[in-house]
Amino acid sequence: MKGLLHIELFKLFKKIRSWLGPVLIFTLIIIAYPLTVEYSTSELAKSFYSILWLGSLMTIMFSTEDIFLEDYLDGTMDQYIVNNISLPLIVFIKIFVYWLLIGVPIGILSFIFAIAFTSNFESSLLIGVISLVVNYIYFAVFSFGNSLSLNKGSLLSSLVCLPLVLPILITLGKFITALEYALNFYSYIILLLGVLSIIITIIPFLISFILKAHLD
Amino acid sequence: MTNDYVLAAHNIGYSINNTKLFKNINFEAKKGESIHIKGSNGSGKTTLLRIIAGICSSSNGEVIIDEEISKVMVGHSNALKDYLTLKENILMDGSFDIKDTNIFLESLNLKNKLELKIGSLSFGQRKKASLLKVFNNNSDLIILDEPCVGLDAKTQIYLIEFLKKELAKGKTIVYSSHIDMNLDSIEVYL
Amino acid sequence: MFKKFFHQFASPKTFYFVSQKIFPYLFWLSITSLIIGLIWGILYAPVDKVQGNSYRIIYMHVPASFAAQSLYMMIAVASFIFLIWKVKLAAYVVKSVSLIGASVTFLALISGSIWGIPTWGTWWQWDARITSTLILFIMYLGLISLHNSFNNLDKADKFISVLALVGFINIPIIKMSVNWWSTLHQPASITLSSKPSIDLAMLYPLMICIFSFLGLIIAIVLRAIQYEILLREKNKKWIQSI
Repeated sequence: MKGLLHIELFKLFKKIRSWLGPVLIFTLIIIAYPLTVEYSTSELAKSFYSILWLGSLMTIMFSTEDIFLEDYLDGTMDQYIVNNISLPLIVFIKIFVYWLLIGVPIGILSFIFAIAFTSNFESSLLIGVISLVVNYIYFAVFSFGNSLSLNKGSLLSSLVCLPLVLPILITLGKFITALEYALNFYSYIILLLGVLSIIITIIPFLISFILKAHLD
Repeated sequence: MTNDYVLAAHNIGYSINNTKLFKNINFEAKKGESIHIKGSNGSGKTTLLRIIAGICSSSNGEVIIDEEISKVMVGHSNALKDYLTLKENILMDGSFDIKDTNIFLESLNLKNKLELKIGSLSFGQRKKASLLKVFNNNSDLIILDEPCVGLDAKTQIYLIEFLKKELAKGKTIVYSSHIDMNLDSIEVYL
Repeated sequence: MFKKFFHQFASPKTFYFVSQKIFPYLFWLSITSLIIGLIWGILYAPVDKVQGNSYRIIYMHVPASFAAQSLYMMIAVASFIFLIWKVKLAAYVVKSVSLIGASVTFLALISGSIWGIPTWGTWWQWDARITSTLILFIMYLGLISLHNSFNNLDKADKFISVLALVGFINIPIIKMSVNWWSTLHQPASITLSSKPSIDLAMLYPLMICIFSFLGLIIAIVLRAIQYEILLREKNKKWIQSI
C-alpha cells in the first residue's frame, strides 16, 4: 500500500498542471471576487464565504476530470486488475493524493484569504479546517461523478454531482451563520465529519464497481 | 477437467447490446502450451484476451484459471505514462528492478533512451518499452494482444525466440497475432 | 427464489404481452376518471376563502408533484432489482421512467409557478419545496443525459442504476436540508398522520385526480417500456414474429 501511495503521489506531482492549475484557479477566483463589487471592506466580508465555498467547489469539480481517465485510457487500469491490485484501495489512494496536493493547498489558502477578508484569526482557522474536510467530500463526490462519466467529459459529471453536494453547501451556510452570531457551531462540524466518514468508507467501493463496469 | 490445465474455457460467449460478438468458444492449455487466437478485424480477439485476463467478464460460459497463477498482459494500450521518463515508468512497475532489465534494454536498443520522456519516443519504441513487462516477467501465464505490431524484424525475431524459451520453461502463452509466430500453438478461430 | 420469480414472470416477453392487455383498460379508465376529477374540482368544488378560485390549479399541481416523487421511487426500486438480481426488464423500467419522470416534474414546476402568481405575487420563490422539486428535475435530466452518453447500453444501464440509487438516498437529505434552509410554502395539504387541512369537498376531487393521474402515468410507463423492449431486443425471434 505504501508503494502504491508513493507511485500515485509521484504521478500526480509530475503533472504540474493537474495540481498547481486548480490551486491557481482557486486563487484567481477569490482575487476576482472583490473586483466585481464596489470597493468597501464591510460589503466584501458579507458574501466572501459564499464565494469561498463555490470557488473551491468549482475548482475541485474540474480538477478531478482526469483522476481515473488517464489510467483508463492508457491501460494502467487493466494492469491493476491483471496484477490483482485491489481497485477500491487504488481509488481510495487516488482520492487521498488529489486531496493532499490540491485540497490541502486550497484549505490553507482559504485560511489565508479568510484572514484577509474578515481579519479574525480564530474564525479563519476554523474556516481553514472546515475547508479541508469539505474539500475531501467534494473530491470523493466528484470522483464518483467522473467515474460515471469517464471519457465523456467533466460536464456530465458536474451535472450529475452538483445536486448531490447541495446539502453540504446548505450545512456550510448554517455553519457560517452560527459562527457569525457566536452560536453553537460544533454540531455542524460534527455533522460534516460524519458525512466525511461515511463517504471515505463507501465511495471507493462504489467507484470501483463503476470502473469495473467501464472495463467490461 | 483435470488439474494439469493452466487455463480452460468452456462455451465462452460475449454480446454487446444483445448482439452476439462470438459464442461457444472452447479451449484448454497446459503448461508449456500456447494458444493462438485467430479471427478477422472486429471478431472479438481483444475482448476474448481481456476475458482471459479477468478484465472483463463473459456473457456466457466461464474461463477457469488457477487462482494462484500470476498473469502478465500486454495489450494495445501500453500502460506507459508519457509525461514520465522511460526509467521512471520502469521503476513504477514494482514487479522488476532496473538491474535485471539492463540486458533487455540493451538488446532492444532502449538503453540510451532511459532518461527520455515516453512522449518523445516513437510508436515502436513505446511498444518495446511496454513489452519489457513480458521480458522481465515471473508469471505463469503470458497474455499478448498483437505483440508484433510496430516492431521491426529484428525485434520480432528476438521476441519470438524469447517466447519459445519461456514455453520451454513451462509457461503458458495466449496471444493474438496477424503474423505467424511459429510457436506450435493450438489455434482458436473466432 | 426471487431470482427464479423474476426470471419467470419478469421476462420481457411475458411483460410485453401482459402490458399489451392491461394498457387499454388502464389508459381509458384513468383518462375518464381524471376528466371527472378535473371537472368536479374546477367547476363544482367550493371556492377557497383566502385564495379564491386560483387554488384550483392544485388539481393539476398536486397530482403532478405526487407522481414526480413516486416515479423516482419506482426508478430506485427498479435500479435496486437490476443491480442485485440483474433483471434486464428492471433496467428498461429505469430508462423509460426517467424520461417520463422528468416531464411530470416539469409539469409540477410549471403548474406550481403559475399558482405562485396569484398567491404570492411572484412566479418563483426560493422556498424549500420548489427548490427541491427543481433539484429533482435536474436529477432526472442527469439520469437521462448519463444514459444517453453511452453507446454500450449494458454499461449505461449499470451507471444509471447506480446514480439513481445514490440520488434516491440523497433525496430525503436534500429535502431535509432545503427545508432546514428556509420555508415559505404552506405545509403539505394532505398528510397521513393528521387530519387534512383542506375541506373534504375539495379533497375528494383531489384524491380522484391524484390516483387517476398516477394511473395514466403508469399506463404511459407501460407503453414506454414496451417501446424499450422492442428497441433493445429487436433481434429476438418473438419480436420479429409480431
